Amino acid sequence: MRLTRRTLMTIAGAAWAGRWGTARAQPVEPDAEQVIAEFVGNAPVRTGGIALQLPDVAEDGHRVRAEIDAPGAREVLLVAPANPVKAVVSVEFGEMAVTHRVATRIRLAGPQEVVALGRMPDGSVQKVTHRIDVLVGGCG
Amino acid sequence: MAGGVRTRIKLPDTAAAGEIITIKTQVTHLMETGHRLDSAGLPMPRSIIHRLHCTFDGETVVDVDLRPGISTNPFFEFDARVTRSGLFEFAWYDDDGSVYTASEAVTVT
Repeated sequence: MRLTRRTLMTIAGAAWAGRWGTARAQPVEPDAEQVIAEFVGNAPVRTGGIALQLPDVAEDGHRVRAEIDAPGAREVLLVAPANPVKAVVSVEFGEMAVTHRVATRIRLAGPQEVVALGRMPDGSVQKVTHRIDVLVGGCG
Repeated sequence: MAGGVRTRIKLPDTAAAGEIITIKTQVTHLMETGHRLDSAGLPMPRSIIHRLHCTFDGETVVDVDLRPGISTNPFFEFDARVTRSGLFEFAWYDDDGSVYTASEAVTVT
């Protein structure tokens, strides 16, 4: 191809458009339903087989202790539907982690119903929710 | 974030065979969410630790996938049943490519 002024302009234009496009594009965060659906897949969902410990009221949303007790679960996922990024943490348990328990500190943007999911060895998913009031939001 | 990162591990030095021990881990890190604006009003890029992998003699104990919803200085507590003496190793993976590591030996008595 012979390099003409026209082709150069087209290339430069496309490059600029591409740069503009990536600079402007905000990554689309999946909503809580999507995050949960992706974890669950086609598995049956049951409630009550796992426990989620959170305070009922958190004064400071920057650090809230959360503990998941998921006897038997291979993997757990914590979802905060009112946060900018809905999935907060997921944990895979190895053979030695016989209690299938994990505790951490999370950020919560505001009052919401936090969801914990556990994938069980039979392929089913256990679900538990905890309503929490947050006085000062911790995201942002 | 690669500078000044400190790791802390708390677990017993010794355990009885078959005992379930509790492991506490923390790493100093800002965990910048990517949703905050700086003083000039420009978005501050996400910079977090996105993975914590704990192994015992090479075998996974827990593999944690962290998102921006984890607080500054990520803390994790979990349990492991130890049946023999060995080495717990911990690796934290930073968005900037750094990997911070720590290890603790446990002797089964």
